[in-house]
Amino acid sequence: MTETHHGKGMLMHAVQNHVESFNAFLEHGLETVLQELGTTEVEPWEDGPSLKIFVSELTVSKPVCKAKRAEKEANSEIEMQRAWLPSDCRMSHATYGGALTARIEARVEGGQMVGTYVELGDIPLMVRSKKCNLCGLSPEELVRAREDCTESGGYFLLRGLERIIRLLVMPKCNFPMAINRPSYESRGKLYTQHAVLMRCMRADGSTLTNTLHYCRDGSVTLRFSHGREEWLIPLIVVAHSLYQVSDRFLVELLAGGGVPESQPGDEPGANHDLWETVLVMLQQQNAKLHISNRRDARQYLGQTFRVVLQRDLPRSFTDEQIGEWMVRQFFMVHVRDGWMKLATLSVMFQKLMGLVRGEVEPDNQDTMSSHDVLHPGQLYGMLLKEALEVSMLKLKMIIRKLTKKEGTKAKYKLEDFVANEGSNLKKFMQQSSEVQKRLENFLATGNVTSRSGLDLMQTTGFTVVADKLNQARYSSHFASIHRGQYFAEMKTTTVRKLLPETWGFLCPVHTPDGSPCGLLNHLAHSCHPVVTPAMPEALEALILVLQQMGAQIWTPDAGPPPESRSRHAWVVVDGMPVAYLDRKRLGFAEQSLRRSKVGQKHGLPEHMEIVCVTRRWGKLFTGLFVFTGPGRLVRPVRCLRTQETEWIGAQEQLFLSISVLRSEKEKAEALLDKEPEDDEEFPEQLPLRFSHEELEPTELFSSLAALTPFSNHNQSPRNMYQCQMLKQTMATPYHNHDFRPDNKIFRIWCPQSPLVRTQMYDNIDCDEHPIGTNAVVAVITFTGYDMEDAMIINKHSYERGFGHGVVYKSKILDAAPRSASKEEQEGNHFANVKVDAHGRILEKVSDQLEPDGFPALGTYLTRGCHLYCKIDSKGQSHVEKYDDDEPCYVEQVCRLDGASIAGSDPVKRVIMKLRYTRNPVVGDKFSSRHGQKGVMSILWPAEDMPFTESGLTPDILFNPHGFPSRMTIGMLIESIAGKAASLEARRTADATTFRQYSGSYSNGGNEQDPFNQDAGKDAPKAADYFGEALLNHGYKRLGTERMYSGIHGCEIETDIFIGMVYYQRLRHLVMDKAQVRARGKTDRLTNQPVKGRKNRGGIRFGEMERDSLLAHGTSFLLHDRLMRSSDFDMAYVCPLCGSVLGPQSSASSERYAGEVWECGACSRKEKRLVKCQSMPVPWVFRYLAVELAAMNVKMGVKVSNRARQVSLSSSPWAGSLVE
Amino acid sequence: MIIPVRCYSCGKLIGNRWEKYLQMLQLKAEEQEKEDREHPENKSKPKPAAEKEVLDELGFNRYCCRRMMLTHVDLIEKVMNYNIYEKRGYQAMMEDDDRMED
Repeated sequence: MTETHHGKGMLMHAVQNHVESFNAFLEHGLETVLQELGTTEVEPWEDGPSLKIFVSELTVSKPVCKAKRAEKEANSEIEMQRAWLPSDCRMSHATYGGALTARIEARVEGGQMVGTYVELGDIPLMVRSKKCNLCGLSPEELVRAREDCTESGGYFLLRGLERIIRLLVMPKCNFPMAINRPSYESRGKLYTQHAVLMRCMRADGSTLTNTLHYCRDGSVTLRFSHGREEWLIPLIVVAHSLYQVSDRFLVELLAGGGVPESQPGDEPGANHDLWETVLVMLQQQNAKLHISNRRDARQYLGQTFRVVLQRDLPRSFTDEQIGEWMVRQFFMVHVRDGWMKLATLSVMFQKLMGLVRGEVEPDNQDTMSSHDVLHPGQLYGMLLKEALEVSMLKLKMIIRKLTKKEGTKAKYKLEDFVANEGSNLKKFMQQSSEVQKRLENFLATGNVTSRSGLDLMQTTGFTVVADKLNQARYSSHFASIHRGQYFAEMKTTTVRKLLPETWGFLCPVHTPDGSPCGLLNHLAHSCHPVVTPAMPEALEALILVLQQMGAQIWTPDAGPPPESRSRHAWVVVDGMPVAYLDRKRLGFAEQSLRRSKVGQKHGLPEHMEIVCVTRRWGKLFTGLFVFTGPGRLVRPVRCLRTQETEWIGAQEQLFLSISVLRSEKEKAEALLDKEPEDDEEFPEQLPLRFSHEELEPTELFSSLAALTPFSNHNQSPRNMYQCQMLKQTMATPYHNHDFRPDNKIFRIWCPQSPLVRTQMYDNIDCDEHPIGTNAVVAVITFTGYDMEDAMIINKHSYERGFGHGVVYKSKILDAAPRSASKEEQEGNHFANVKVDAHGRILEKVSDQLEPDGFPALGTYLTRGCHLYCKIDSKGQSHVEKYDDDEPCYVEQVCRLDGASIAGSDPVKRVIMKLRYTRNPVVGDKFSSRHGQKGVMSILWPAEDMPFTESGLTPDILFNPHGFPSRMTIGMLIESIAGKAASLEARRTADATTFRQYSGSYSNGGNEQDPFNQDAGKDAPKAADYFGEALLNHGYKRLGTERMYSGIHGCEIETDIFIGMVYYQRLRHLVMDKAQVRARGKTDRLTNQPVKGRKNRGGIRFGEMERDSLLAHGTSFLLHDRLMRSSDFDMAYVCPLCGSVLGPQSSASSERYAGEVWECGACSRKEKRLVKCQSMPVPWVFRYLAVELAAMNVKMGVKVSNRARQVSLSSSPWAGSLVE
Repeated sequence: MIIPVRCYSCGKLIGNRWEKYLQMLQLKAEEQEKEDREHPENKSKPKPAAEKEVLDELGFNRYCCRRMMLTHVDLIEKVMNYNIYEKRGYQAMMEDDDRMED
């Protein structure tokens, strides 16, 4: 990371994972994608020659500006290239991508190999990855590149939007997982709930899950999915197809050992009956289908699957070849070697049998220890591979179509594609390339459109827009990790539970409340996913080390272990059982492996995860599982033996004992080392001897949660609320406002750095983008305006800039709408001049606008002011007016032409940035950093505020009733600490969670050793530590002061608790939400008021509201809301047929011209004029009548005189409407 | 952004002292550096923060005014790094060409 990133800031940390992941894709992923891609074979005729095409090289180039100037092009071949920067993309709403070039090699059977380079389109690139133009820039250079000085990338720019690929939880790969799932029983008659599944990862990071199902008749089937369909194959057939073995060998292998008899000293459930199980299964299988060698098995597979795999394979493949292909593509895909595949299968089988017999407990599917992470580079690589596959398939179709026609009629011959150095091939490959389209579509929508499903549980929601409200919110997008959409719909809450296994990996505090609670988690600050693929060198090194430790390396020649299964344990490296080991030596092997890993000896990777499972941990499948592959979460701890930092994985952590506090470790050791004098001194349970230690007690928090000061003094949900509220804070999103046309951006004018802060605050450099203000807060009930979480702000403070802020909103303005004709697109432009027939400028169209057609910067716009002027293709000018109730200022007008139009061309598309002031108004939301939110209820004049002896009036009055039930003691301590810090002018008061205090704050305290564990019981409490400093300055130790009422001028009897608390201003602002309407637009169909603040609509008076009015018996109000203020209408009803549709004005009648309404149908029938009565109805009632009529249902209203009396004449307000 | 003119809580004029405050801090830091060079043995001894002395000298006695000075983040320095009049895209390219032709 250091090579690409120099800057600091809150983001660096969280974004690192994403950038590294994408870099790993660029470095290794592209190559492995090539290896897995395979050859495409085009064979137009049954017996004709075939054309073989494959990709031999893939390169990505840095983004360049493709613009060409016409005159330049004429005399120069060289394309004008200029580094294309992310800020250019933002300003022009473009996509940030670099060209993907492939070398395609093709050969007609028996002919020459021809290769050519083809550009497959621009693929979106991650900002600040190795292929980004910002890679490796220093903060100063970043500023020159028009970025924020802490810009750290990690996202893709799609049409100017910053989108990121979210981390996603996946089942742990390359580990056989035992599960009991009742739903498996519904798979078939014989199926049981027992299964062992393994998510096997290929070298390129894509995966395929193989599941072994146990059936009631003792047989086992293997399940895999292909093309979204599931297939089940008997285990014996699969086993035979993998590797050529004799039946006896196979039985021994699957049973896990060579000796069939049980031996003295064997654990229960030793191998002798497993032997029998396998034998029976083999015999049953042979009775059904005689397959005894590899060729038979592969032929059988080929025969069976030929139809299914038609699309993927050339027709010329024999059954055996198809079988071989299937073995490579579908079974245990994490290894290529057939023998290793078979060995893996045998380990899976043994675990399954252990599960069936109750010797092995099922693995918990919801713990961190059985999870992996799908990281951005991995997913991107998978999609790129699939896009290339689809492109090749499309190319195959095109070539086949072009060459298919018989004889001379065909436009092309196969040879044409390799002639001229493959120029035709190049042409058609470019045509068929789907890479750019697919990847852009994926990133823009977050949807995966895949034929195979990519072994993923969901198809949508992979990417999100990174919202830059403030840096905290933005960075938490990168640290977030989602459990998967599937689990969000689950009714049970087990998946959301916080399990102890997540300690140090996922933050227990930082998860939202509500529907995504527990599913959307955030990484602990020092935890990160491994992104580099498993290296073959590492495996070789590991095998060497294992050999030295006395492990038996497993080769086909060595055969099954000669001894009973209970005597040895497998050593499984990344899902491959490469060796077996005497069980007694397991512990030793683990120790020495760990030593080599920590010491970086023998070429073992530092992120290697060593999981040693022995019988002492209970009913678990014993073995030494080693993981080196990508997707695992790892975190640093201190190894006590070597005192060095060791990276451990989530599954590894289960079997280690890690102390959090040093005192904890010492206590345990003292207890263990002590010679007990009598038995009673022994504790009931002896503590574990710790092998590892946390680097810091705060290691379990995410970087956001670690920002909460004194969070160990707060009630725990309050800390969760603070994490949420920090993400809603109006703050400083970035400094390069002039170069970012975001839709809506908040900014506060005078943010301050908090006096009371945690170590994390400085570690991640939050001062670059401060988020709040240190406010003098008095805890007092005053005036009653501070009830129910409301707070009073000093009007004086407000007038001096307390909490002042703005919001910028950007509008995109087009001279011609996108749907306009080509003529208009070309002719329309922005300008403010009238031109005569000869093109001479006559005069300005609007006095309020500048000649370019836009208002001058800084113009104050109110409703009705001119916003812009455009000239259409016919020379007509149109002035558009500003149509918003809220006034604003013009901040910036920026051309949005990208690089496609030269400077002097007419302006056709702009972004206009408008500035709205957002100074605090009544109803705006504020919060401290302890989950204590409240709305401002009044701006209280300073002269009426209570004041202290020194004459200061608090900025905020906070109601004391907020404390007892919420128990946010941290806020009280912060108040004291803040006051002390200000008086001491120390700038900071360390409020790190779990911090211990010693010494005196005035003399520097224990800054050097914050978690000082020697202090013991005499250590001062946080409040005392800071209280003492207050005493030194002549204040009361508890942070209280005498105050005087501003209204009466007399002394307040009680001492008032007053201090300094850091306050955040939340983005829920009244000005953005206020919605009011008396009359206005109505819906055309129902005549009811429209909805939405934007349309000046009303607020829905819904069912629940209706119910409450009914319950209150306030029928007048009910009638008013639902009828009078909504879609009141007078309708005429025919007294005979009751129709509301029939009545018509008798305008044509001579006698009653226009005076009365008659029912035409009834008049004709009765042969007299049938007068209709008027009746108040809701307009939708008419609509209902029409809808019913359309369905051939007649609706009639029975009108009686009595009803008329009740509904109309008794209501005086309705009377006027009745004739 | 820029330091507020007056203290939020008590109304004391502070905006006119910001530059002075920075200068005095700078001076103090230089003095301290000199002191450390001459008497390295005193380096690790606890001493009151430089800010404290400066604020006392400037006459900021109440904790409300002290926090205004102590915690102000002068974002204007960062914002001013961006040059909105910079020539970009085609403008820059054309200028390059002009220069080449010259």
